[in-house]
Amino acid sequence: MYKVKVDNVSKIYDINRNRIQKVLSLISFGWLYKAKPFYALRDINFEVHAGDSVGILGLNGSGKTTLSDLIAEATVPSKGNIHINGRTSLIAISAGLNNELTGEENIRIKCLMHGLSEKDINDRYDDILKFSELGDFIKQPIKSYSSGMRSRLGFAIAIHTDPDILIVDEALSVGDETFANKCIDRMRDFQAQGKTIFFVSHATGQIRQFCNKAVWVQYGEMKQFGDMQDVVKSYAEFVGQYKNLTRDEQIEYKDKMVAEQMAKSQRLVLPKEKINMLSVAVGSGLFLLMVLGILIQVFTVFN
Amino acid sequence: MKNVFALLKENFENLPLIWKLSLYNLKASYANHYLGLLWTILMPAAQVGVFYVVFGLGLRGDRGDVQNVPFLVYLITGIFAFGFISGCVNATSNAISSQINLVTKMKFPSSILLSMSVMNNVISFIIMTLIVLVISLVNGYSEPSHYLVWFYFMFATIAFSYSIGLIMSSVNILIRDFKNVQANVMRMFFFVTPIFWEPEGRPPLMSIIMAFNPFAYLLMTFRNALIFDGPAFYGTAADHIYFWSITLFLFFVGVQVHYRYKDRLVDYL
Repeated sequence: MYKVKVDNVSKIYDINRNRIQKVLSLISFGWLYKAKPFYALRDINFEVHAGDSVGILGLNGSGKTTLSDLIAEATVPSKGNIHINGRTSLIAISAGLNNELTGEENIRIKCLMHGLSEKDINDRYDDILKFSELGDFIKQPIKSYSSGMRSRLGFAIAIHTDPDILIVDEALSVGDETFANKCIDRMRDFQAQGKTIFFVSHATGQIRQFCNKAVWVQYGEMKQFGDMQDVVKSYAEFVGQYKNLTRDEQIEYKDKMVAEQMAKSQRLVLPKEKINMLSVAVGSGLFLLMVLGILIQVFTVFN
Repeated sequence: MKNVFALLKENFENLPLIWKLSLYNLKASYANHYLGLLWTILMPAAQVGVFYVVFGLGLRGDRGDVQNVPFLVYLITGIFAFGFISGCVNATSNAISSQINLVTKMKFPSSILLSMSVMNNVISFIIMTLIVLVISLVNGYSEPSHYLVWFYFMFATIAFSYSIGLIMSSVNILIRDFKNVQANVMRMFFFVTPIFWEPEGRPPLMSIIMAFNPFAYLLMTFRNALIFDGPAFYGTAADHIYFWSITLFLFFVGVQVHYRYKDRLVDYL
């Protein structure tokens, strides 16, 4: 039984969206408007089982964060489906914390939003505080925190919300090494409990440390998925070659790849949205009702 | 159609969560104040004080009674109720854009954000209502059984502002300009709604505008319930039909717009 199944998933952004077209698309529900689509991700397919730890590898701008947002259900795919069995929790550097509130209040508010009960929160509060190493600073508003403190708090909250699937988006690069090691220890506990972890990074070091599988995304496409050793090996080979290029050649290569990505996106035909006839019928009915209501009011007022 | 039920179910199931999160929001807005939550009572009380000094002590001359209540009471109920109605409309319209950083990195139903902003306004409005209730009880303005219409007023206001909020919370993100348009429209409504002027003895145009102004309908419903000694409900049958047919249509359109854009709003930011 799979834990996460990414089934032919594409994420398309519209890069040709000027204001008039936005309005047109809004009022015509996508019928009077031609999009200029850009594939951020294209036909990604893989299946992950419970207990797997998957590294997501790739250069900058290859779609790693888009993929992790999709797995965390923070955005939805434009095409294809993602099936997820269980609750997800995403840890990113820009974790969604409220700057005005204190650390303690943020812990409580975030846990509530993740669906924990008050009792659960009280039980876990001390653990979270201890893990975040914030001590007395927990009573201070978040806006006075350093970026390291913030990411520590974000990490501490996220791993205490009982996720079945944990997604770590380069969040460890902010904290110092002792904290990073503590997080890795904690993630090993997760592994031992048979939970699923996604670990996003452009460097192979931490992925080598504890992932058993890896995905390599390259300019929106899945280059390789499989055993961590194999993927990391071919990724490292690629990076080695890439680094050997001169700086101009590197830029040239990137431009070429992005242009290719663009060209492929142009051939794409976006499916037109289906119009739900029931909704149209109910909508028109209610519209007529409103017109009737206005007419009745007009007659009463002017008589 | 199934979106309508999904939205109602989503909000109903998360009611305890909405309540707790609103309390936190309220706390956050007064977090750096020494008096803290006391301000939720002090703010409306201070408002009453200011209006008492300006209008109650006769600084602007005696304005006479409106129906059975002094002008001061008429004005206070108008300011409180309109503040609540427009507060709900503005808060729901900006609910998603102002709180998006809390939810971009997680799965969270965004219609809950709208309910939270309504709940914030409800909490502070309950305190204002209590102030008006005390004034009304002490002076014996309205019949106690009429106070129950307050619940109808709350339901109507929430339904109306939530419907507008569903549409505008998406539109405000897609097209930022609408924020400014909306602010000015609300300002206009402040003047065409009978807050500080009484409907009697106005030019006929004013009463025609009033008949087509849903804010006036809500405002007068509040006054009929709490301070006027007339009928419990305000308005003719046509007024009720007019208000609810518009609200129902706006709600339906709002649900469609909301469900079409809720998962993609992050892409537009």
